[in-house]
Amino acid sequence: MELEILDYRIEQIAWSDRTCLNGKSLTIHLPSLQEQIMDLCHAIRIDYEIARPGESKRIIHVLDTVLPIAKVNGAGPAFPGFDGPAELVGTGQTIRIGNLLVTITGRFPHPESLTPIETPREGILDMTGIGADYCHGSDHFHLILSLTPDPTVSNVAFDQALRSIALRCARFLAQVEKTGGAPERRTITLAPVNNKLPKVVLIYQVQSQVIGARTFYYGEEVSKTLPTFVHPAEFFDGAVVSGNYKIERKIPTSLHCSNPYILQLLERHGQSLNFLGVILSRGYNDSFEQKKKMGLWVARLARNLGAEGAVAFMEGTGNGTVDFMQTVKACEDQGIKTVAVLHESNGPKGYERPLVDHPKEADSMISRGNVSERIYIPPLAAVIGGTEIDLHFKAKHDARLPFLFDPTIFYGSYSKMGGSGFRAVYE
Amino acid sequence: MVKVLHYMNQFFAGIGGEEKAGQEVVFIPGAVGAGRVLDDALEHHNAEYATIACGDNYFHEEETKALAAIHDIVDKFNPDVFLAGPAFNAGRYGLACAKVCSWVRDNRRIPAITAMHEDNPGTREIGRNVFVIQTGDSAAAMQECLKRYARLIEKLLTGEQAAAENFRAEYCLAIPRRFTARSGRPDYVRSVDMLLAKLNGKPYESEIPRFETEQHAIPNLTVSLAEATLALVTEGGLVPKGNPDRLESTRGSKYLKYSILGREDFKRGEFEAMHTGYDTATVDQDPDRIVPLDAMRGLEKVQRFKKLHDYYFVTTGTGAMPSKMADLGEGIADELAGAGVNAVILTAT
Repeated sequence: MELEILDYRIEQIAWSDRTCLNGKSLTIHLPSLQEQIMDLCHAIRIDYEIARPGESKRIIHVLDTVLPIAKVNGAGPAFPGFDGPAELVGTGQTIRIGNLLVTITGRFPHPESLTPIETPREGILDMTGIGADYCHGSDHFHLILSLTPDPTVSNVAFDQALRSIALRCARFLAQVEKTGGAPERRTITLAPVNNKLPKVVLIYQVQSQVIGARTFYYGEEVSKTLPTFVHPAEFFDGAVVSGNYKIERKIPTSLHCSNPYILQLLERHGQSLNFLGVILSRGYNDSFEQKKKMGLWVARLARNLGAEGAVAFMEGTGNGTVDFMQTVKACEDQGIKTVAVLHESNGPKGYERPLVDHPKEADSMISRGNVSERIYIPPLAAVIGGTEIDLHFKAKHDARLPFLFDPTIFYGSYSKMGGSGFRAVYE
Repeated sequence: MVKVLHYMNQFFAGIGGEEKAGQEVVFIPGAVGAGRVLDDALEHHNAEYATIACGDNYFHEEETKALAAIHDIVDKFNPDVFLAGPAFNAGRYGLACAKVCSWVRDNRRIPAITAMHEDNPGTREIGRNVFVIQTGDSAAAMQECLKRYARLIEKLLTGEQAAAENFRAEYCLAIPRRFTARSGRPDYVRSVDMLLAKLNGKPYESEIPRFETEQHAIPNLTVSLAEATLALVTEGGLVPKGNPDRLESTRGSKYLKYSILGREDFKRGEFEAMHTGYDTATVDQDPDRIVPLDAMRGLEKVQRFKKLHDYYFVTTGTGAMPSKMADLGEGIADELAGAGVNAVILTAT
């Protein structure tokens, strides 16, 4: 299986009377974009904005970010099962704009009828300042769509609409007319390598529970599947899509689509290790018995693939940690050496126990930092997507004023803190 | 010119002893008590010194008001350095010093210095970057302690960052607390490196320390089951529909109790679960599945035990800090023990 990525990068973005990518300058004709998504926007008002890396802008109520990707010459759809029929992806050519995101903000139309677990959490995306290292996408350009549904739209319909709109926009942007610049080309494949190199899998545990806290594979909820093998190339074609609005801990769709763990293991494939591929698993099973079995089945799959080692990370917090640790334990019990990556929750004063579950088998942990530490967050010049930050069910906060909060207020912070090289240490 | 603001309790500020522990927050221009020694030591900096005094009881009983008043004073005086204590082994004073310094440091990002003995409970409330000078357990150590404040302030004022850190290593309490720092390399690189080390039999060090879970022995029943009063307790967030007492759906800050006197089971629609940690839909369908009232009433009728306690207790465990949950648990246990309850069915999610 082999996928070629045609990777464009931009240095400028602006509104214009035509949509095209000229060299590294992207211009967007708003009416053309609106026409593309018109059929998806029934009873939803959309405000459009642009943000660039380093700008003093704070985007609030962020729900998802999507990387612009599209298949070349109609070889199957990107985002299979959503923006087209579910066909196998991960082959042929995929075109993308690697440093641009379609960013969806908004609030659900009927929050009062959502259960606590279905209720989205606030996520702000700071393009500069102290928050930038905590926010997924702060180093990308953004086309921001702020969605305001009217009361006739149900929560379920809004959830579907925002995803459809985002994915359609992503395709539209990837497919823009291009002149005066060649993409960087790279091949995503797992070519046979020296058999003596250690065989390694990536264990990729997502949150999938209920509406508002779920992840899709080919448009299907991962909660309805068993742990499964996924080829790295499928991720680059949008096989995994986020429907998770637990905003600080979510793996955004754009991060599924261009995951630094997958990239890192591909880079070392044939050099220091033999990357066998990804095991997509699910946390937040309802009972301990189920969590344990999920771990056993991941270990079974890793063993059958011939893995000697695994890197494991997870999306989520406490509840999902138990599934995750059962997975680490089961792998180690099978002799598969496993390094597991997690955030710590040491409390605002730093003295709480770091993890809710930590079996002795998990003896090689990578830390992403203390997510419950307070940070002083100064305001930025402009606020996009609303006026008030929802401080996680506690209070509303004027988005133009400074505040003291922990990293859980930032969009995609758990992943981004790891990517920024943060870890917790004793003071 | 440098402005120094010093927080003291009623005793060290010379207002009075225990009888004045209810003293509200008061701003005193100039140095008082031990502050005079520091003011003198900083004379060559042309220091403007001021004092905040607050009664130990007042701070603990009216913490929000006290912090708001301190906030106003800090805003008006606009200090360059904030001091509190020394608290030695005085528990209430130490807690106040820790909380005030942490609050000032977090919000104002100016140096905050306090001092206390290593056994002072205030050591559990020290925020990031607050200096906590180690002291003896009584005010007999005052002079030595004040010299250390002065030396540290000197280093901070002259911008000797490395010297201040050396001072911290030598004279400050080493309280084991974990905070975020930059490792210089992203998690996806470090994790693969660690895996290769592990696979190749090379040394590596786990980045997250492991703590054994504290084991709590389950006490034996002191009466026979037939003579026992049982209570229902849950962290599953079950509250009357509409959540009248506003239990948080995550990071519970309190526990609540609700009467079940005369109630045979929880009817759908009368109760609901406030909890972001599990799928509450099944509990909303049948609340007895998180607090098994129906089953307990059945067992009560056939006299498997004597009586079900008239209240059930509830909090929300998800996202909460273990230390907070330990506090809430103690409160629940005290109430139950006081009410003569012999055993508890505790349901968790």
